Amino acid sequence: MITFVQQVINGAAAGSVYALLAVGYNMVYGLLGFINFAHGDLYMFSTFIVLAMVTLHVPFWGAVAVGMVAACFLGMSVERIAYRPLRTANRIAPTVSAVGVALVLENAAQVIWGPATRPFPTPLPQGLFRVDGVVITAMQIVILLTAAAIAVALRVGVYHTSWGRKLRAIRDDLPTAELVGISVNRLVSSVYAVGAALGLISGVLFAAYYNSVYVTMGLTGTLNAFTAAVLGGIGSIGGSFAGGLALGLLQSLGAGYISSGYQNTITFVVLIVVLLLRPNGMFGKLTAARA
Amino acid sequence: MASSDSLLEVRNISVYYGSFRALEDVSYTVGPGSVVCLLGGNASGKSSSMKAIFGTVPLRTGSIRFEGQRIDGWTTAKRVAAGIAAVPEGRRVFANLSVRENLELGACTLRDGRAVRTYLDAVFDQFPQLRERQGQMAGSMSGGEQQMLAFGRALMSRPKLICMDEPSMGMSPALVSRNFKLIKSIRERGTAVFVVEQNARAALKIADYAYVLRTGSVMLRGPAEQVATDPQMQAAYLGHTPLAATVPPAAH
Amino acid sequence: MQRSAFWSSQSAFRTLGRLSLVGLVAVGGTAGSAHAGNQSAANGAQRAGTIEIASFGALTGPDAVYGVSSLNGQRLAVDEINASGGIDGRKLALVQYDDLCEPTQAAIVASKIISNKSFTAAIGPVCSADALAALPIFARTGVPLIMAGDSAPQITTMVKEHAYTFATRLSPQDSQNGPELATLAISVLHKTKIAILYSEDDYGQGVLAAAKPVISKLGGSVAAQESYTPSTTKDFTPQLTKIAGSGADVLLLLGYYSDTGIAVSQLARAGVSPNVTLIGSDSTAQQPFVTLAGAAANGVYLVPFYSPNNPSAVNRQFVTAYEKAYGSAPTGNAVMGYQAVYTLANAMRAGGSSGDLAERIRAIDFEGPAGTVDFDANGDLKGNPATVLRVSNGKLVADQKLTIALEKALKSD
Repeated sequence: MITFVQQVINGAAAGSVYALLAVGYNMVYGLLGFINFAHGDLYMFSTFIVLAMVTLHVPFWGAVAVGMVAACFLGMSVERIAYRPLRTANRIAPTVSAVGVALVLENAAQVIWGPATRPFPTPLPQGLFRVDGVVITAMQIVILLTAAAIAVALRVGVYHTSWGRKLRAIRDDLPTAELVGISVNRLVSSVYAVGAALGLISGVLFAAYYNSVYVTMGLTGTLNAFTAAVLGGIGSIGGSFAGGLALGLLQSLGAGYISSGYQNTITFVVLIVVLLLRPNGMFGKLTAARA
Repeated sequence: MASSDSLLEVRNISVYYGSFRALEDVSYTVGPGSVVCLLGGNASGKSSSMKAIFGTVPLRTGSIRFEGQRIDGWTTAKRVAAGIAAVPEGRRVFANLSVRENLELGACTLRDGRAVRTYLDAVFDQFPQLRERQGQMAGSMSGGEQQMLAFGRALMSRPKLICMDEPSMGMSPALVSRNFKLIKSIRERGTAVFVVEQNARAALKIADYAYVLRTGSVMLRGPAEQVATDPQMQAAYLGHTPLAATVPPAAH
Repeated sequence: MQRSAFWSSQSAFRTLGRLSLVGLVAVGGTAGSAHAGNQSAANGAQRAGTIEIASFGALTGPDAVYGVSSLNGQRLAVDEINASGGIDGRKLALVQYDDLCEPTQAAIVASKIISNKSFTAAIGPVCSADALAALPIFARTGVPLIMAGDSAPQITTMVKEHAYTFATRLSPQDSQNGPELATLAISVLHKTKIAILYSEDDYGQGVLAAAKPVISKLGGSVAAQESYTPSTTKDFTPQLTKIAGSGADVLLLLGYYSDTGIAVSQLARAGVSPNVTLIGSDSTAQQPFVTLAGAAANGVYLVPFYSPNNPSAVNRQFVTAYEKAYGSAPTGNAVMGYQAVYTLANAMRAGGSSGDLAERIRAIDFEGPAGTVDFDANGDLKGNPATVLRVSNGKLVADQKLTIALEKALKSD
């Protein structure tokens, strides 16, 4: 029982990190129906920027602020340069463009920061508590609280602000949204910025939790975000959180109770089964009414 | 005709899609508070005219002025903020947003939140059905109600000019006559209306001035009653059927 | 130090991604293709009397740490030899190729090398899977190949089966490290309930396969045996939580430092008792292991085939020169690259210009920084005694007492 509870706690923490990555990825999909394969690389790149700042003795929160600004800027630039010109093109074109951006970021990061896995110094609390033999770390609490706070903030942002109303209008009918006077380009840009900023938060939590930053975390991140998004329901914000948590628990319990060697296999088998039973993901039905 | 007191002045515009010519050297003028209709069949350039006014297609030549200012380089949002509102073709409401949210989006270029509330009340007073259903998803309403919502949404920005794209398309005769009554009432409040229509007979009844397009060029123009009786027009559009029985041509 | 990333699912994804991209937009040149070789060095071939050596390994990509270390060692040796007049007045020149630690690239690189007749010999690669892909290609011309960092036992099998006399291998084998770890745990430290965390690839499985018979022979038992995907798994808590519940008193870490370092940093949150003794395999014994593992690294035992703390004179001189040249202590890959060049140079000196160079390489016997360089009938390095290190205050420190105890225990078995 202790082992089970432990696996659930650890899985939930890992899942929350996936969820924050998946939600940024899913917002873009929800808005434009476009799979941003560079999302994970943006998250990797901006996390490296935070690490570089910390290495230059910039105080941690300052470094995170710089990373956040850099992430927003990168997200918006990528949208402006690589995706916007292709918005009305055939669906494949921006996807290829996204893979291209992913490669450019990955190689640039490798040239600048090298291929080695780097530790991530952080002032985030590293202590741990024991409750009836189950270990809970301060970092896990930080991760769960951050994810919950962001989930609430996004819910409010999308359903109770004029920004969110405009986003949902664009999602519903982009040409009409433009006709009623919504600055579609500016809004799309803001979604990339928010998505990249959430990616950075996810990246910093990931780096602090696993004490590592490395170039290929972008690709792994994209795969995890994609899996979580598909599990939860692509395009759905609530689904991203559910999918991220489900992915974390699956990996944790799959490794714990079936076999650690088949961790990824278990994940993908479950993904396939979910898609067979519910082709739109666990929350897919709601996506029509969600942003 | 390019009088200095015109509200909208479209001068000598051409629009191409690749090598396909949609509009060639076309000019329109809409005076303040007037109703101007733009008639024409399929592929005559009606929709492109609408898009040109809102800036969603690039102009190859020509200029567009609104209240004397050149707006052809402006973004759509800036044009809307300047006082041009759209009632798009096919009652395009935001189906997954509530009625109230749809109306609020109509005022998204306004900065003053209190004004938005006042305007919302005014629209609700004009369309009490919308007030009753303000929390309902727009997509779950009937076609006629959605059309009403699209009108209300356009009114929310208190525009000086409302551009309507085929308001009678796919509507029952009863709704068509309701829509045209509505256009009249809008005009009575001093708002100019630019209506793009295939239903020439109904449109000419309420318009002050009319333009008739054919394959991208203005074939005929003049005061509405003059155009209605023009022999060319009689032959091409109005046919010999009695006025009341006119049904719009099949939707494209 | 030895990578078999080919078998990891992540590498497969990466390759797939790149291939599709190369096909679609043809930007594969940024990452997918091998470097065409160092141009200035290639021009050097025209200089009369230069001895050209092909050097290949992962120079970019996630495994570049290993390839670049090896190349650094090779360069240091070449510079030393050239500074002292070269070999009979002829200078050495390295021409490097990047194989990304991907067997498909290794095959392309090997073809390029054998088609260039100016090469006297080749050194590389740093990944076992690449070596297995490259060996049959080198067999076409028989240009001498010194493998400097490939530990998989399958290489011995292949070399033996096909009588690849042109090939020699300068790296210790997984089959040697496994028994060392088991013996240290059971016979020296007296811990018998053993948990194992291993890398799901040729390396981790090779060390595991060699360790298990020794564990049962010495009376130990395997309480838990958990694997992970190298360079992809970052959350080790599911495995470690199981290990925590198994009641093991010692945990063997069979993997690369970049993975085991992260795993060790997560021990506490998985509920693993601080009383569990940790023993890391050869590939874990790198300084960055400590930076990744953090405070939890203190007290971890490591059993590398090479330690910069080795007190021999030749090693001290090598470490000093290496630190001066690159600003960091040499790794296992660096020392293998260094010894590979000296192996070649000594073999050339020994035979002058006549005779079969590959045969002379196999006959070599000299003291290198990592111990005696001496090959067996299959071209494999004869084993050198292992060193036991212990992490103390964030540093890898040689433990002489345990090293001697382990050597004694290994002999008595």
